[in-house]
Amino acid sequence: MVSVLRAAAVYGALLVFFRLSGKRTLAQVTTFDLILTLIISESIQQALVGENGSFTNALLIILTLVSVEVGLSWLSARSEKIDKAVNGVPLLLVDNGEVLHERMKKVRVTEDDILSSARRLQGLERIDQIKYAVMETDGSISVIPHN
Amino acid sequence: MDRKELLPRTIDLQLEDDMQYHRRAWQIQSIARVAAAVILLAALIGLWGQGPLSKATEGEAGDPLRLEYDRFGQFRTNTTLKLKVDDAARTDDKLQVWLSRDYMERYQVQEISPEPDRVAVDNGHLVYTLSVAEPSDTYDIVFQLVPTRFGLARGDAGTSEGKLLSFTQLIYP
Repeated sequence: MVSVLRAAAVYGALLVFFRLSGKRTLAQVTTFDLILTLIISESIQQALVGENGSFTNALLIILTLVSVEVGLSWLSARSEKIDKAVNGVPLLLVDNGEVLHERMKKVRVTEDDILSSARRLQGLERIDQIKYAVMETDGSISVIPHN
Repeated sequence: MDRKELLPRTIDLQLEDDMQYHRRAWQIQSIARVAAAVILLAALIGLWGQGPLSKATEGEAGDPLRLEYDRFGQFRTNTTLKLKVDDAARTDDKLQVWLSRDYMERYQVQEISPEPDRVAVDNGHLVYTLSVAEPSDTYDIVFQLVPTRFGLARGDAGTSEGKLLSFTQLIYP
């Protein structure tokens, strides 16, 4: 019982922490972000497993985490409010060529971040070639160029 | 600062520009940042264990028994209890101290320094009997404990003269 509760509590805590820290934390755009993810995973390992290194305990933890994930997906599909709370909502950052600086400041995104996505995804060279840029719910930036 | 950018927009793109959601989310994130800063500051001063706020002492200088311990601890994380016993509690070359059994049942004893000659259960207490090789004004007995339960742990401590101290520890999960 303790393993299941502990796993669910760790999942819930991580969900709250990452939702409150903003979407960019999820985007893994730099090496440092990847290192941070690795360190976080190491930090929670002991909290998840405790002193119980059995195969049974490992299976219970995995099953709990997957079940919580599936449960949240099921609820999100049925409730727009829950979906927004759990997954967030995309945010428009460039509207018809107009860079929305205030919004970018709120989500800690710079023009360089948008240009980086533009180069990577669309092979664009300048910000004026971008019609729309949207920060998706996973923190990544989608770019739609002018035709 | 162009606040118009924080209003919803109507765009060709099939995307709901839900600025009401975003503004509420940003407000919550601002509150969360303040809360995180408070939590981290509290950690630095020892509210979650291991820091100046956590260090506690029971008893005054000159008392037959004094206790130094951590007011706050964490589940399955080492905590130290130091009993400072006055020489008046010594009988011949033996020293006896006790801790309440209810308290000790919540912990796993990693080490007692110096090691007691005998541990006995007496009237709801765990009584530790130690040998004194060289008389001194005070004797330090250090218990290294690992909490096996979280929550509030209330304990009593005393010598062969009776109960002398009460203390409370909060163990976080």
